[in-house]
Amino acid sequence: MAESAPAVRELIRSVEQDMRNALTSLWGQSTNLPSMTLLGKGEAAVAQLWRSIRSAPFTFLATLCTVSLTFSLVAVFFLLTSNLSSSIVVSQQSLRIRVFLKDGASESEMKQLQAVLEQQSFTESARFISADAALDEFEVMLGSHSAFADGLSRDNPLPQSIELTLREGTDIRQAAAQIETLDDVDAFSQFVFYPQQSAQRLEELLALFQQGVLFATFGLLAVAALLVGSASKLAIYAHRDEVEILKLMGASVRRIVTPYMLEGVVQGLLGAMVGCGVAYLIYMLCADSVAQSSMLSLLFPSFHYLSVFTVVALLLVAAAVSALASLFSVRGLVREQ
Amino acid sequence: MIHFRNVIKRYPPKEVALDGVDIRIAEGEFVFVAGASGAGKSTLLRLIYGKERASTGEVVVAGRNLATGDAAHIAALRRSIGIVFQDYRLLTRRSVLENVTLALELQGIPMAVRRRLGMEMLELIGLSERADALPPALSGGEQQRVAVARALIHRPKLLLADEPTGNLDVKMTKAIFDLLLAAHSAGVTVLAATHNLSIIEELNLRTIVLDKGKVLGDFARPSRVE
Ligand SMILES: Nc1ncnc2c1ncn2[C@@H]1O[C@H](COP(=O)(O)OP(=O)(O)OP(=O)(O)O)[C@@H](O)[C@H]1O
Ligand SMILES: [Mg+2]
Repeated sequence: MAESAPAVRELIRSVEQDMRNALTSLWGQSTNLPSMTLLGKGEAAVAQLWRSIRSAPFTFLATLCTVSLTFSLVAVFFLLTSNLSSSIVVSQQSLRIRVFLKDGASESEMKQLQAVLEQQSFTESARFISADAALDEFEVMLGSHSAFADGLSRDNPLPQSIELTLREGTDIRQAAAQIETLDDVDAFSQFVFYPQQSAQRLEELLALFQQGVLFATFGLLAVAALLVGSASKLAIYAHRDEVEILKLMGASVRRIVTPYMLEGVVQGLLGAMVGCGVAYLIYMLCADSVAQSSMLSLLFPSFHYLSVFTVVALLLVAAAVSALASLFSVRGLVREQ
Repeated sequence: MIHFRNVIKRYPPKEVALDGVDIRIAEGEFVFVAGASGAGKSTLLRLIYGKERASTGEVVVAGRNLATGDAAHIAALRRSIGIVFQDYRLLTRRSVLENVTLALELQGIPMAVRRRLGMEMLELIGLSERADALPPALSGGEQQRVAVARALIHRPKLLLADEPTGNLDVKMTKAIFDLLLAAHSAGVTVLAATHNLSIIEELNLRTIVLDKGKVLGDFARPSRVE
């Protein structure tokens, strides 16, 4: 062995020379290399994303479906509340209060009450409305559904009332409260009503409903975050060998996490798009029947789709929530390895 | 370049893989780490690239104590060196070309440039025809050559090669060592763990012999000792 070594080394040296020339020429080219352009980075990210989806298409689809379902609920909730909230437009100008009389109140009692009400400082005029007049009014309000009122007319259950018209500039709430304290009102009427009162109640109810929707939306966003986060966790777990190699090669945590985050963002964004699409479908299917049904058109006087602002906001929120969700569920795993 | 000061490495619960190792490797050296299976060769290398931390003692690489380095520092160190893993560690879902150019990718070098340099490197190891294949479709020896090419493409300051020719026949072993020697003569510090005694004898370069975690000998010219 000792004798042959010099000859072998000579041979190796000549091969080594060629190799070294090749290597140095290769390395020579790699000084002052351009770094990746933004476009190149984007391209690489898309390529990696596609590779990742292709390596586990069913996981991706399953997550996409559940996330879509979640965002569909959010979008439909928004569709409902945005239309409901714009439907309650009660004229604040009308300054009328109705004092409904007790059943069987006599003519003299009515007259007495009317006189008292006319004396009030805020009263412009006080008009008696008989049960028959109330029924006529009701029929006009119902319009095409007046067959219903026909049934009522045989045995009219509507109470008699006195309608007060208030002077310009009166605070209707204060006036109503004052009326309620009058002894005669207490004695002869069953209740005092003004439209703003019910509108206010309805608005309160609506506000409550909107708060509920807001909470539900937060809940649903949390669900979406959970779904996207666990999908990212699953994805990184499926690629744990690759993650380890990248770490051994000196890839930063950010470099490793970014593609998984991107995948999460795509899932969230696509899910939100599907959600908006589902809401649009529901809008298309329901718009006509809402317009035709008098009950529904009372609730939704003009039924329109989500505003562009709402759609964009929903997409942005979806992207942000899923980015954060996948970042936080994946970062720890990568650091740990 | 590399300095071990009385390094002990224990793997829990009680395996002592390195037991009081003191070595110093200067820039530009070519050093073999020899020893039987289980002697601690891989552990020594893992301490250098920060995969494991010394239980006691100090490991200083490129002027920095790895025990005090944070994750970002270790990542930067790993990007600046080349590592050939004993079990190759190729990305099984990426093509041979993508594997070879991974270090360039991590440096943010554009795809077109990576492709060109990668093809040139594959030419050098005789695998240009398999550029688009996936690693599992390659033989063990071919995978090993890809692993060596990947470790060298970015002109590392330091090359750590753990059994870089374990799966190769005599001819391929020579070719790989030609490549390592070429890198060395171009200025790369090389540390190669192997139990291939004939190549150690043939090349007759500095050799550190480990046994049961202890340095048995540190020979500047092992052939003369024989
Ligand atoms: N992760 C680990 N956990 C526990 N023990 C380990 C671990 N890695 C290595 N060891 C033990 O440490 C000792 C040294 O292992 P090491 O892998 O460094 O040896 P080696 O010289 O590289 O062997 P080979 O030539 O077979 O690759 C062995 O006894 C091994 O069982
Ligand atoms: Mg080993």
